[in-house]
Amino acid sequence: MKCKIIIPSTLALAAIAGLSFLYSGLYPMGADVPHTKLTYWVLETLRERSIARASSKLQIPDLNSPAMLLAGGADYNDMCTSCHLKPGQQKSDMSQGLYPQPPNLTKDTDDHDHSHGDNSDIDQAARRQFWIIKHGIKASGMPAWGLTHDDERIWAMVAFLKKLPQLTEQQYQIITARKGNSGMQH
Amino acid sequence: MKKINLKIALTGIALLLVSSTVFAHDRSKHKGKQEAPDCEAMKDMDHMDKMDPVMMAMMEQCSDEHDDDHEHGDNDHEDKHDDDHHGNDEHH
Ligand code: HEC
Repeated sequence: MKCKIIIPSTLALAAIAGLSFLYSGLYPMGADVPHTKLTYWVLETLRERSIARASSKLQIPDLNSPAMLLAGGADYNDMCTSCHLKPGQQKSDMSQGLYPQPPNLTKDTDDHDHSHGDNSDIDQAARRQFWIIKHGIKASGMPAWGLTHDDERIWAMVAFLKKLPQLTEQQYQIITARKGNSGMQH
Repeated sequence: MKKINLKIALTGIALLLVSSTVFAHDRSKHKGKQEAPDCEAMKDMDHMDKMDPVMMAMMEQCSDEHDDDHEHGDNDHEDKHDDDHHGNDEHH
C-alpha cells in the first residue's frame, strides 16, 4: 500500500529537483570547468559502449601498405594536427581549449586502447578509430569526417594512426609531405 | 531526468565547437598543400628495415622526388590521379 504513495511522490520530487536545477542556471557550462566525476563517468560510459556496439562488425582492410600510410599521413597532417598534434608539437589552441580535450594521438594511449598484444583488441581499436573518424563524437569537438571523405581515405588515416606514435619528427615530415599531387596515391 | 537534459545542453556546446572546426578544415585546404619531403634526413636514420611499411613509405616519397627532378613522367602521374573518382579535393 505504502509503495503506491512513496514511489510516485519520490519520482515527482526528483523530477521537480531536476527541473529546478536545469532552470536555476547553476550548472557551469564553460569548457574551462571540467565535469564532475559522475558526469564524466556517465558520458564516457555512454560514448564507449555506443561506439563499441556500433563498430563491432566493421571489416578491416589491410592497414600495412605504404600507400595507405602516405594517403593517411597527408590527410592527417592537413586536417587533424590542429587538435591532435604532431611529433615535436606539445600543444595548440584547440588541444588546450577544447573540452573534452582532444587526445594527443602522437602518444601511445594506455587508457583508451585496451590491447595487451592480443589481435582482437588491436582490431577493435582500429574499428573504434575508424568509427570515430567517420562519425565524429557528439558533445565534443570531434567532427564526422565521413560526410566529406570516403571510407578508403578514413581507413588510410587509421593505418597512419597505428604508426604515428612511433614516428620521429623527420619520419613524420617525409611521410606526410604532400608534394605535387602524388601524396594521395593508393 | 537531470542527466538527459544535461546531455542536450552539452550537445549545444558541441555544436558551437564543431562549427569552429569547419574553419579548421577550410583553412587546411590552403596551407601545407605542397611541401617537399626532407629526404636528406633519411640518411641519418639508423634502422633501415626494407620491409617495414614506414620505411617503404618514406622510400616511395623520396624516390618519387628523383622523378620530379627529371621533370618527365610527372604529368602522366597527375593525369592518372585526376581520372580516379576518389573525392580527392586537394587536386586543384
Ligand atoms: C576541432 C578539433 C578536432 C579535429 C580537427 C579533429 N579531432 Fe579527433 N577528436 C577531437 C576531440 C575533442 C576528441 C575527443 C572526444 C571525446 O573524448 O569525447 C577527438 C577524438 C578522436 C579520436 C578518438 C581518440 C581516442 O582514442 O579516444 C580519434 C581516433 C580522432 N579524434 C581522430 C581524428 C582524426 C583522424 C582527425 C582528422 C581527420 C581528427 N580527429 C580531427 C577533436 C578533433
